[in-house]
Amino acid sequence: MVQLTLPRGSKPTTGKVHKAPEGATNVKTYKVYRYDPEVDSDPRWDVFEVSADDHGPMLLDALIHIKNTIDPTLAFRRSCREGICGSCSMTIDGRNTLSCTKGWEECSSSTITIAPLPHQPVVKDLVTDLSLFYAQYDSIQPYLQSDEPDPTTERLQSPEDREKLDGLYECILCACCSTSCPSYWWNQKDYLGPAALLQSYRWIADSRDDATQKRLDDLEDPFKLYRCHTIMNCTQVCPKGLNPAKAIAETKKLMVSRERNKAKASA
Amino acid sequence: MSGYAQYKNRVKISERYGAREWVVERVALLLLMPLGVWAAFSAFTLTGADYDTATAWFASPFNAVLLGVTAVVFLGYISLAWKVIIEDYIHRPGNKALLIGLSNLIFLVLAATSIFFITRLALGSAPLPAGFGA
Repeated sequence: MVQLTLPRGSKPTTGKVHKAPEGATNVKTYKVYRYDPEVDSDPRWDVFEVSADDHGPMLLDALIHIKNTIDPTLAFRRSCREGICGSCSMTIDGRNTLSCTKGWEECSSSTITIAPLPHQPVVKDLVTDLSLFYAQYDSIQPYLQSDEPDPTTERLQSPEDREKLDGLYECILCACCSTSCPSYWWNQKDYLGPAALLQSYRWIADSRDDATQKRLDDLEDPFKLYRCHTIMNCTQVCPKGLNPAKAIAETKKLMVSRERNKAKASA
Repeated sequence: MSGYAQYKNRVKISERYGAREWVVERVALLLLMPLGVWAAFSAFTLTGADYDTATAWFASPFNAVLLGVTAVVFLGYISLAWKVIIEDYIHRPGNKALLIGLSNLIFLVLAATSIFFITRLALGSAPLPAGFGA
């Protein structure tokens, strides 16, 4: 049976409270998930009171400030700081997003809650183990497969065909979509998840790629593709404004036309 | 079924089916839209009708056939929906197969029972055979 309650060792307890210094102005409160599986028996919520005057406008700025000045043991991933690398994805006030593009002023709650991406094993604090997510991405063979011999120049594509890739190629693999999907929570072992399926469709839709049928064969499975129940959380949370649910629907439509063609051929 | 699934580098290998079942679900839902409206409208018009009017309605071949189709499509759709729910939430292969089998059996019995009673009513018989209630 699917696990509906947190197992022992996963229920966060109340942690340390780091008060703002006397006289601090424009104080924001951050409730941050802390857990080191090698040391801690249970995760905990640490509270940090930080003056917003001391750091930049984004939540990642606040986290870097906390790490630099209050608690150097706080672990989180970050790299580009401008929404391109997808490293700093986390759950902020209950919604998956990139902390580098989310301003603390955008959060309406008095205490901003910051947690790791849901339903992923926690490596430490806000760092999750995304190895299965990457294995799923790898499985869809995210590269051009053409039957044509390698050309001496680039493979040309009409502007219309190129337009079909808009809204697909921009994915930064931050995992916000997949880890916000309840279907992925319950069945991530078998379901590829919105990110991998969006990327799969990115190659299916590419006019230069000749492996469409093989790609569709690899997706036709009651779990790998059809566990998408059109919940749409993926589209709602995507920090790049992409629509994985639409890409999945387009893939399902291609499956139907393929079935119809098969039926016609056998008739 | 996931219980017999094979994996490569932690990712499931495609079982190469699922599209047809997905299409059947959608077609059943599309059929249920007009059938549901018809069934609701019929129930509304029969409300407060006397016994003879009701049995005459059931005796109409058009109503009987449409009611039979509605019952079968509805129960078939619900059985597919239950299968998906069980597949989503029950992860032990044995339990999953058992529950799906049980659910299919229940809906098959319900469909057969529905057809039996609709046929009896269409033929002008009493809803229950002699010896089963009033």
